Amino acid sequence: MSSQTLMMTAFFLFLLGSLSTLTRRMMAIRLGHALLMMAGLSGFVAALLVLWSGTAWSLDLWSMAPFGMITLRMDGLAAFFILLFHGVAMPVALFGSSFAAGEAKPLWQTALLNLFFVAIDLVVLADQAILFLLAWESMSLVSTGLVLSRHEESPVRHAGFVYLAMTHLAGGFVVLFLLYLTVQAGDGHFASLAEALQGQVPEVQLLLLLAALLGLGTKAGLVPVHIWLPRAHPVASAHVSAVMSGLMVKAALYMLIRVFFGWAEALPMALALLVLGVGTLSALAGVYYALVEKDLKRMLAFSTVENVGIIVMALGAALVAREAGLAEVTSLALSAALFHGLNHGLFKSLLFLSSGAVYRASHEKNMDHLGGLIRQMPATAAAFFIGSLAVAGIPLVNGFASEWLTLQSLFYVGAFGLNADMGMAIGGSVNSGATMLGGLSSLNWTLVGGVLALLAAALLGLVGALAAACFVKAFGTVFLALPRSQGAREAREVPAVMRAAMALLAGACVFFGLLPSAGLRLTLPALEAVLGPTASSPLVLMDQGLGLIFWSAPGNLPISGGASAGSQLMIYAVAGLLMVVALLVAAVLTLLRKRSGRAPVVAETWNCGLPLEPTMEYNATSFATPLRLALGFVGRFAVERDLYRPFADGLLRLAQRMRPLQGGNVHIYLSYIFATLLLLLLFGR
Amino acid sequence: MTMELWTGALQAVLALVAAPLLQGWIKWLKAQMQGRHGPSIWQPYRDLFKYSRKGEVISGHTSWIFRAAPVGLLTTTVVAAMLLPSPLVAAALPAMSGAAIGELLLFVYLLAMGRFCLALAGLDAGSSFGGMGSSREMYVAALAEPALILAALVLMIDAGTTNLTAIGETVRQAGWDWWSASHLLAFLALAVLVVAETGRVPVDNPDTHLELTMIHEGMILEYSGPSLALIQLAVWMKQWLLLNVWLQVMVPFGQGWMFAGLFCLLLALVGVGLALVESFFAKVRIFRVPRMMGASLMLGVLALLARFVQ
Repeated sequence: MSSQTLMMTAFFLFLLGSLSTLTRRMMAIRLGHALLMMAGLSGFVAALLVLWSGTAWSLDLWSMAPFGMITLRMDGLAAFFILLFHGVAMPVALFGSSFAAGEAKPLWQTALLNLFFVAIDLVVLADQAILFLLAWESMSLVSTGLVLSRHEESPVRHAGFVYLAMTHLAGGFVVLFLLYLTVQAGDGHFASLAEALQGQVPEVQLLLLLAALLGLGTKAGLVPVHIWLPRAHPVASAHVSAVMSGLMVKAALYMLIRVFFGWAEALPMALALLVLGVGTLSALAGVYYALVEKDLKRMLAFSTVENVGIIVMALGAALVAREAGLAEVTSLALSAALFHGLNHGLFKSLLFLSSGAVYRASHEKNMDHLGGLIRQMPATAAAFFIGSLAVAGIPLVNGFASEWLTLQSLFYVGAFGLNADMGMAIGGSVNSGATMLGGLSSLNWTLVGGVLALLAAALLGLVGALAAACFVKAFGTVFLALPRSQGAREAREVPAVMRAAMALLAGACVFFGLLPSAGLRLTLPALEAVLGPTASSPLVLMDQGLGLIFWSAPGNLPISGGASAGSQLMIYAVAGLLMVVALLVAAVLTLLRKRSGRAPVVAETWNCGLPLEPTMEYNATSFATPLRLALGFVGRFAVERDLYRPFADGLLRLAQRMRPLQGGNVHIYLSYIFATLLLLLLFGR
Repeated sequence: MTMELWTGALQAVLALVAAPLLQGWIKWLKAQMQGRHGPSIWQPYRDLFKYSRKGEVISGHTSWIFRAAPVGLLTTTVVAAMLLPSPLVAAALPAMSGAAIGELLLFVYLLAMGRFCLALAGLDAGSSFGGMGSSREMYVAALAEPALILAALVLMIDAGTTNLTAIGETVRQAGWDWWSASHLLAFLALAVLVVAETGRVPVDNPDTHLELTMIHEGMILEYSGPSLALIQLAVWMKQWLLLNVWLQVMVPFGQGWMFAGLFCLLLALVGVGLALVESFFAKVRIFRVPRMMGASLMLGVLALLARFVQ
């Protein structure tokens, strides 16, 4: 079957899955999730076919008067994201088939989850402005419906309101961006929009790109427009949170990549640095809030803000590299961004699913009330452990590979910026952006970009270390030590179906951790789709000494062409080494124990002679306290209080002032109409 | 590939054998400076031997994490030692020069992997000491990380790669011209971090078991017997490795026995420096540690700016 047919089958199955919930209760939930899983598989294969063959397809649906032909198109970039969405859909469906029954309004959720996938697929497949906007809006509304499935609770309603308000604010900017270009281009086809964008005068182009960044960035959860994310994501059911956190933010990143790399050809260096800066800010703020949070799911939501920040940092590095004329580094950084997007989709859904399992077993969300679950729930603990390793960027699991690649891209941008005489291909287009900013053109922007990229790399190191601290805290307080509540004491392992779903995702995390080249191979068609002929394969770059090598012969400088044959080590070789050494060490330990002639004695934890009480343990709050105090300056600026409150208050005051206009007197209204008519006759035609 | 494996194995064995000696040397010096007789320089070996013969007590509240952590810690440290080019091996055996893997970021992340294991193990037994140790260890590590990455990257700009073997080559070719203002600042920044990462005064006190002052010792309080031996060995190895990194980005080591001697001499001198710091400075309050790390980060930023104006 062709990729097109498979994709259409997927849409059909999603809709069928949605409709199936109209049948009987228990069976309907199973059926809905089974169809979701089949649709997931179908779309997964469809995307894989496109990625494999490298040929894009497009499908004309119908013609719509002012906007031209409504078209679906799956190119490399779209296929990469479809692959992620559908790959995660399968384990989520498996988990949901057992988990959803215990949640509020399971039928409603199952129906909407199927519809959600239709919407998110259309977002990345749309090749036309109006279809994109429709899909974008449906995605927002359907996810609001999912968030509000427990609308009886007032905090849920509030979260839903904030989400809806922010998402429409963002939608406004996206509409502005796309419709302005549609008007300029004459039709809504993406190729025409790209031409229209390139044809704009630089100032207008800058404003349009800023609108796109703001609109898409809100949906992606970038600081400071992230405030909806940590409210909306955790209140949904765990498997829905997994989809929202793992996938929905990626839909926004998809469009960001398409617009900034595919459509805009050259942009001011300052804008590239702004993207880098926003990414860094999001990563830092996200991880700080995750660290001090004690609600498990909210912590995971903040960690999404952090990871989106890391992805946007890589995108920023790619933009800076492109402005500096470093085609290879651009490919590498963009590949890092895409790969981290894939990895985050996998490990964040894994973590959300296991948090759902924890909640189902213990009925506790607060980490300070959990503990000791590793004994009753070994499988869930193992799943969460792998997820924690991934998110903390520990080698051998997938988060490390892409974080390492991001660090490398930032380093290359920095090293090339500061080292222009290294024999690198720095073209004449170095200051293409700088000239746009008049007075600043005397500054060497490549150099500035280099310095800032190295500072960003240092901050990425901080983010990684804080993420490790955060997940030591999470795993340590949820799964280790003594249980801190009745719920945690009585927790029992979740059913096999849920464990299987977590095992699938954990397996994927380990797979991409051991074989990062497989993930990088997947990003290549996406790079070709947006960068065109300047795209170079991250795997070829690797052979050239740039990218995913762990050693090459000394003196073999990147991109200088003199690639050393052999002597390249993949991470799996390191994994093998670790395995062998671990076995050796374990053998030595066993030998020593045997020789001492005494088996290990099991006793109580030493507590200065007093019985050990759960209340004495370090919990999530106390674990994070030193870092909270040291980094207090991050938290002192409360985005909501200092940024949104004044804005909202101002809006309310303005509304108060406008109130007299609405007097309720019919004569006044009639005179308004008359005045409007007069003005239209005078100025309009 | 085989050459890399053999070099790696040799480096790991060297680190395993020499690391306790370095520790013993520093402790002996410290005792002399404080007018004590002090333990013998060979005491760390005796300690390891003693621990390895003792029986072990394991808390019943712990899980497999607690049992696996010492193995994980020593494993990651040994593999890190295999990756890290050793100037001593390269100088003494020119055939093995340049055969180390030397990816610095992987090295840093491997050490982080070991720390992750140990911090979880600290929480596993449920005692407040362990939790306190884990919390503070992650705190110090997180604050040290940005300064470490920045200083390391500044030193790597010239080589254009994060591969330590290539950097060693760049340093060798540059000779003593390598010592520019920017690099000096970066060495200084790294020196502060080496002190913090090896758990020494003024950040941590390796000799105390007083709960209010300890970081690392708190984390491993529940360990005994052979497991403790593995942990101690890993910690001393980490100290050896960090000093190795620091010395080789600073000094252009060539090949031959003379440079091997120079390396040992410099290592001994660094030991003197560490003992001096331990004797003349008090441990700072835990909440003052960010200032030290901030100072190190600022040195890194200055190093970057010095490179920028060059």
